[in-house]
Amino acid sequence: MSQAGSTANAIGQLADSLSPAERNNLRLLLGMAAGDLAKFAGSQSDVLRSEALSSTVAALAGLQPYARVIPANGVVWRGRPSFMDERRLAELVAESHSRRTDARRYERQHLATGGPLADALAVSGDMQSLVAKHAGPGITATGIASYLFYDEAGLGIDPHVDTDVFALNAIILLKHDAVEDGRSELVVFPATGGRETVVLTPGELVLVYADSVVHGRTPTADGEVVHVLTIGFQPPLTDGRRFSM
Amino acid sequence: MSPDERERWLNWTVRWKLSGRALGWVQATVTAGTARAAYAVLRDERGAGIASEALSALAHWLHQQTYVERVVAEIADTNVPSMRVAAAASFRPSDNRSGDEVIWELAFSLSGRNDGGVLASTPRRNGMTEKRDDEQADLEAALPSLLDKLGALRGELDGDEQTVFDEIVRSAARHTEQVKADDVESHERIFMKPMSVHLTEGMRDEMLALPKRLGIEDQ
Repeated sequence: MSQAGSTANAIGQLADSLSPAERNNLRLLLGMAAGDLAKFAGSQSDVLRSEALSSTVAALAGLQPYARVIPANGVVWRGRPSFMDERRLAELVAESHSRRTDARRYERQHLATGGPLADALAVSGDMQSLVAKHAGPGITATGIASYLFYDEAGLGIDPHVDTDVFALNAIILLKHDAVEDGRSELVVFPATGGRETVVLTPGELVLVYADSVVHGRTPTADGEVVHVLTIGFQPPLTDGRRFSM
Repeated sequence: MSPDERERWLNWTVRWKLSGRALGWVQATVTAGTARAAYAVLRDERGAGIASEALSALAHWLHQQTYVERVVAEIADTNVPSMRVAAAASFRPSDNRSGDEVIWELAFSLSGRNDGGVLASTPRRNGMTEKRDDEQADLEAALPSLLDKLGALRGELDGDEQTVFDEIVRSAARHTEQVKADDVESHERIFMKPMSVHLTEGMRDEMLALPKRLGIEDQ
């Protein structure tokens, strides 16, 4: 076993003895570590940091509390949902633009609450059917939808894991005005090592276990504009309970 | 009260505070541990968040006054407006159905019984959720014990494992510093996607001091 594997196992064994709040704090600590170890720019890569990143993503995956085993890269499905026709996409894009003025900056992204269309989609039968089809039954909609905006040079988000509100995250690319100088993309860090770029076209959705698999968005280039809608779901846990702190 | 005294039937009219004008009604059927809620708002008053506010107030009242741990609402799966009302009041759809209706539920943690109601689910404000002080306090209170356990774990690791572990801890502290520097507004109470939104000032201080606390040298 590699050092990364044995260190991750040791952390995993510790996790078995932790309270729910301690486990969430451990997820927080490991997520913060991943943000530094896997950062997209300004960081030198070496063997030790690579081992530490491998340990971190493996330990995070091992902390996943779900009844079903999740894929190593956390992605359970990607594609364009049948309900996302051009009209619906255009309506959501228009709503995202209307919400942009109320967006607030957090780290290197701008975030706004969902409008009526996004909120309705978050609890819709369409979305819940899609989630149940690809991720299994028993998953509940949190009812939380947020717009994310990356529309200035250098925006993005360092690798991280999400809160339990977005444990299973439906990430929908609404708009991507790319430029020749570069292209910001969603990146996931599989528990088995390495990194994968998830290239989406507007209207496509990726369903990812975002609280267990490290993911981030590479920085935008000058002139690039990305609008994303993100919708939260919670899978059933191994003991049938959901997070309650 | 039902004839067999197994259920309490409660009904309220929803009114504006100032004018007393009736806006709708809420009702609850209370059995041991659970209450079933129903609500309606007059047609001309819809769309202003009245139903979700009334439903949320009803659920809290039921929890505090009747000690129910779970409030449910039965909603037809075609009734999107009612789903939005329930979602805005922090209810979540369950796997259970009653005929052609989905049972939405709001569960309360036991610790909330005596302090005004701590939601086990995440309360929502205008589409953006907000961390309850109580939840944040739970996380903050649990951090020192976790750090003690991490210290004990570090002592059990062999040399190479400890080297990797130390780099993880150093990296967590470094990124904590980075997030602190980038946090251009006060977002601590806003519940958003990254786990870093859980970091209070106290937790940040603990994370920043963690390498030193565990005896990990700078690199």
